[in-house]
Amino acid sequence: MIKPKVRVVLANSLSRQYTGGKTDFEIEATRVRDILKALQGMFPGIREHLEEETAVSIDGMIYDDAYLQEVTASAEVFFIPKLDAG
Amino acid sequence: MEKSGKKYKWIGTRPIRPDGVDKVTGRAKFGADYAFPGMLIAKVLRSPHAHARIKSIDTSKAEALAGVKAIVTSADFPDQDFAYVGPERVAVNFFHVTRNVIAREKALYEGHTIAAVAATTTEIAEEAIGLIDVDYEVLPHVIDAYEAAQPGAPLLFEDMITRGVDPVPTEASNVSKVVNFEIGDMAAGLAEADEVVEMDFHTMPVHQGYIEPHACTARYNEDGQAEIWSSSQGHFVVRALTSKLLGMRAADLRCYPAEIGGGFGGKTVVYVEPLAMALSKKAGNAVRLVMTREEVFKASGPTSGGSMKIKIGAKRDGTVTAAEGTFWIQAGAFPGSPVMNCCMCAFAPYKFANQKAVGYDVISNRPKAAAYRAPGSPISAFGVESVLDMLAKKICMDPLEFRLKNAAVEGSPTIMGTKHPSYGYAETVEVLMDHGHVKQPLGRNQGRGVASGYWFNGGGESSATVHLNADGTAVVATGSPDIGGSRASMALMAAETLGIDYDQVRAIVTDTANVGYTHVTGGSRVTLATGSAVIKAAEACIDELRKRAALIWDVDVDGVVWEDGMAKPASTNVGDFDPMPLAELTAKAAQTGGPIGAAGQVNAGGVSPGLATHVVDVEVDPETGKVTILRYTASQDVGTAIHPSYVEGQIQGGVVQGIGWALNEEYIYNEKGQLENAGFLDYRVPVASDVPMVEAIMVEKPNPNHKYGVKGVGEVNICPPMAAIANAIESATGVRMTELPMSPPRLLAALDAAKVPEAAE
Repeated sequence: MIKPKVRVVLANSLSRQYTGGKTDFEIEATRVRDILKALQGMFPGIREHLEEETAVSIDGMIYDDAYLQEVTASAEVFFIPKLDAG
Repeated sequence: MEKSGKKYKWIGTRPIRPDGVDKVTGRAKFGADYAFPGMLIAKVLRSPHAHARIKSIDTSKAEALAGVKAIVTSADFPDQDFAYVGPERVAVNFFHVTRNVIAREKALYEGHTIAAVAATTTEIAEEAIGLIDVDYEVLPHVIDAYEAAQPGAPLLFEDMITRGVDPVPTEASNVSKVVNFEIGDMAAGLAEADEVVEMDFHTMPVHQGYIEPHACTARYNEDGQAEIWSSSQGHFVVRALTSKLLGMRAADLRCYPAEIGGGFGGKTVVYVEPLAMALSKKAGNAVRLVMTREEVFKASGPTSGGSMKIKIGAKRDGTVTAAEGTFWIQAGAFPGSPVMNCCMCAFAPYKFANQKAVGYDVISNRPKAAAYRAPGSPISAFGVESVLDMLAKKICMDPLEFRLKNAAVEGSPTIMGTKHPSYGYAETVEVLMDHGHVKQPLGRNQGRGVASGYWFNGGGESSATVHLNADGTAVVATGSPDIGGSRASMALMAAETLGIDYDQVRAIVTDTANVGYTHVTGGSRVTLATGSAVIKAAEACIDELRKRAALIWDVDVDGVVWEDGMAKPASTNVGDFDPMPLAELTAKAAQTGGPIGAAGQVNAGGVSPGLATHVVDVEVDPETGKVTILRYTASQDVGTAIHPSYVEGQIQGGVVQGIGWALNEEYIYNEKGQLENAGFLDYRVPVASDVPMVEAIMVEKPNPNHKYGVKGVGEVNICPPMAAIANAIESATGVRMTELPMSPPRLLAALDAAKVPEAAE
């Protein structure tokens, strides 16, 4: 099955740590788990960090745990610090 | 019964809260109301010093006192690894948590717990506290966060190296971490600006001011099973933290939710529960520990204070071209201020193309900061919204029009680089531009101010069960302590989903053994997340009800639909059956398979943020500096208001707390670093006579990701008041206040200072 390409963006701190500074990626995915798998393949160790320590913004909607969340062809997926509050 | 809309039968109505009668009659049991045979009373020995090394603790005299059953010090708690656990923004380091609960090597603030005693009476426990000998080496201290961040300041941790700096520093510092956010090109944005305003601002730490002090009763049984009854914003978190700090298994600790007399974020952490449990384990009896008000002020978290530098540039047509903020936020004695929130929320209502925020998390000799309504966001809003007001004046534009021109919309970029989701900010401004408030004439010494605010809102893990009784009533059980009326909101959503009347639903809050994990009542998350769990459980009940109807009718379950609280044939092809109401099906439950009930568990995402805009009129007494709030109107994007009265109550409550933050509340320390106003007589929160009726305007822009359109409503309302009032004071007097609180002496001094040049002339 051909999966759509989505735009994936990492925070600067993550990119410094894992990707040599690259923040923008185009990745074929139908769910966030596809993105995590693809990134892990390129940058070993990044998946655990993303799963444990980031929330995911898909076209602006924030999901604390987005492993199974669906993404569409034009989606923009950002990994951001997890949110919490008072 | 009033309804706010026609889309739903129950959602949007205003029934009385299920816990109301118990609370107004005094039957409701709060944290200090639990008692057991043989129960002991605990008291805490606290440090009189802001900063001191603990050389030794001698408890022998206290132990010898008749009636003393147990004494604990840090030696009774296992030490914890030094490791930040969890996401950076809310990372927890149990090495620090255990030291905040009870001091080890050093006392880091006045009021820091040194030891705790359990005795047969309060008097004996207090006497025993006085018999404990502590040998302190008093050290230099630092209270102010900005001063604490400077080189040469007394160090709380001699080995703390600032995180988030590249290359890693070699010298220890009180700056725990540095965070950076940036989008666009700041230099280019500032070059485009016709006007630039740059100014420094300061806010004070303020306490959440909940009426009920921290209180709990703990019982450690002979078989290793333990229980806690406590007032908290999340008994699952009490269980998680207490078991971790004492080396217990989660399944061995059962936590019961007492009613809660306010929290506002301050009861999302533990202070008394681990102490009471350690004492109970040693003594073999139940132990009750209740803080005094003085202890609440000296030893429980206020929200942070902060210093900030804000720089914003705009074109004469009102377009903001660049916005920059630098924030030094005090975390208290241990790392972990809401500095990231400060940075991430600062410019969030707006679509500024170029944004930059740098934040410093700074420790000093004060109680560890805890969450307080939208933690971090009100601090940055004070500076940013003040500067926006000054810019609007410089370019001669109405402040609401200026904000509307720059309003973020769905898809606008955030400082994190993400897009904004469903966004009702512009609507909160527009509704005020058309409101009679902004057209009302002002008198002498009177002024009007506006300001806006942003809060993320939260989702996360929640659980619920729905059980249907034979008589057609339903019991909804959740793990979310009810602070703002959530029992009613849960019952409304269950009634709407099941299609039964609201008064057929009983909503309760249950303990950690009776429902699945549920995160705290905080972060404006409960109506969305726990509500989603309730809806999921109710929908599972409906699926079961359809199966039961199909069984009775002897048809396929796909041939049964659920409408208006009844099972109906999906079409005439299914058969000619009379609809079966829920009560008819539950009455036959025993014959069709047994009790009907279901659990719902979610990790709720799809969160939409909260946006608010406020208008306030003030009158300033030029002789005394006293500010009187004349009129206050607050608009807020609330998604769908499940129970409008409670939504309005959240808005009004946040505004009133913001007024206190703006005008009166502050911690006053003496030269020894000791708090001098640890009580409500000297730490002045607003009282009813200080505030007019706050008009709450609900902008209902439903969250597309929630079945009923829920957005969080509990926090963003505290973000605008400080700047709105400062802007109103400037409008009334011409004096720009840049430091909170804008109390009579501080404002009077500013007014007098402003007069000096005139006098000289």
